[in-house]
Amino acid sequence: MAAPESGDGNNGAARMVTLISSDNTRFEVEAAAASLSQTLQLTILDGGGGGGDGIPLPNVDSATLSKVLEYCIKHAPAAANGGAPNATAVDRAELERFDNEFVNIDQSVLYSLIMAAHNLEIEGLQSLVAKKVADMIKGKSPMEIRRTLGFPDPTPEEQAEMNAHMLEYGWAYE
Amino acid sequence: MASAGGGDRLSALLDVVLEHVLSFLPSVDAVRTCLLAQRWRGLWLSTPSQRVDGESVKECHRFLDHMLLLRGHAPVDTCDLSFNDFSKRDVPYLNLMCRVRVLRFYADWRRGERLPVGDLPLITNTLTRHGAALMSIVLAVFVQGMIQTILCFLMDCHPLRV
Repeated sequence: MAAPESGDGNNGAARMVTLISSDNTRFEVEAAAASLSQTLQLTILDGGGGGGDGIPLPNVDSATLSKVLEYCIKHAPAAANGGAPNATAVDRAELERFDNEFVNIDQSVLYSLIMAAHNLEIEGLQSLVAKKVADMIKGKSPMEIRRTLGFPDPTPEEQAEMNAHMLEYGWAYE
Repeated sequence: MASAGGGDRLSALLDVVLEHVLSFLPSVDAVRTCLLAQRWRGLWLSTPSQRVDGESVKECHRFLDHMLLLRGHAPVDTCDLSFNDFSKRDVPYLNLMCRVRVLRFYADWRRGERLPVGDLPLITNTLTRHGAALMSIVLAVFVQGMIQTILCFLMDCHPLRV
């Protein structure tokens, strides 16, 4: 991974930990960034993940992990500030811009991220990706939602079932 | 364009993840997801949040009636209600929807009509009866688009003027 932007460790260099993806790629990242994951936080606090050890993440592939870490590295400084109550409007706008671009991704990557964010319990990322999927649903008809989310077109039986449901749920379509 | 099987991948996610997705949606959109697949049928019912934005309670009452009826006693954590027009006769609806931990209610009050603040502690009575532990109600009253009053009801159910 890229060198840390700023070190706040005791000896001037930030503590690094190693995460190992399901396909055995090793990612070295600042402990502060990895600690955004509630799942990893305790292990890291216990001193795990350092040296040659590394923390294996059997549920996260390297493409997804690299994306997750991109998020964590960007958000770690603000998180270290306790949600950055004194962050400037510019900082917040920059994070917002980052977030918007971050989820502007291929659907399969988005779905992998949802799983990873859930497994790693990264609260901000969980909300960011869930909100992205919600935005893909908002204000659309059932057929539009199906297409947007990547559902196959309904079979005739499913279509009949959908029609029956729409009659039953007419009150939600007024 | 959507990748093949994307919907199936989404449907394969845990309830708690999908409910999180639905919690970002206005209730009307959350309800509509029940048409996606069998997997989604009952999900909106157990989503711990409700969000209804509308012109007025009168305009939304059919939706509200059905939603409340179908949800039954499914627990609701957060309820966001927003109406451009709200008056005293709509207070009973508010009471129906307030078995929650957090109620955020935004309304544009009718000009000239006395704010039914005296009636609103009814809401907190309901909440007390249902034993909400960490209750907070933020009631923002807008008149002509400007925040006029914000009332915060806390655990002890005394309205605090902010």
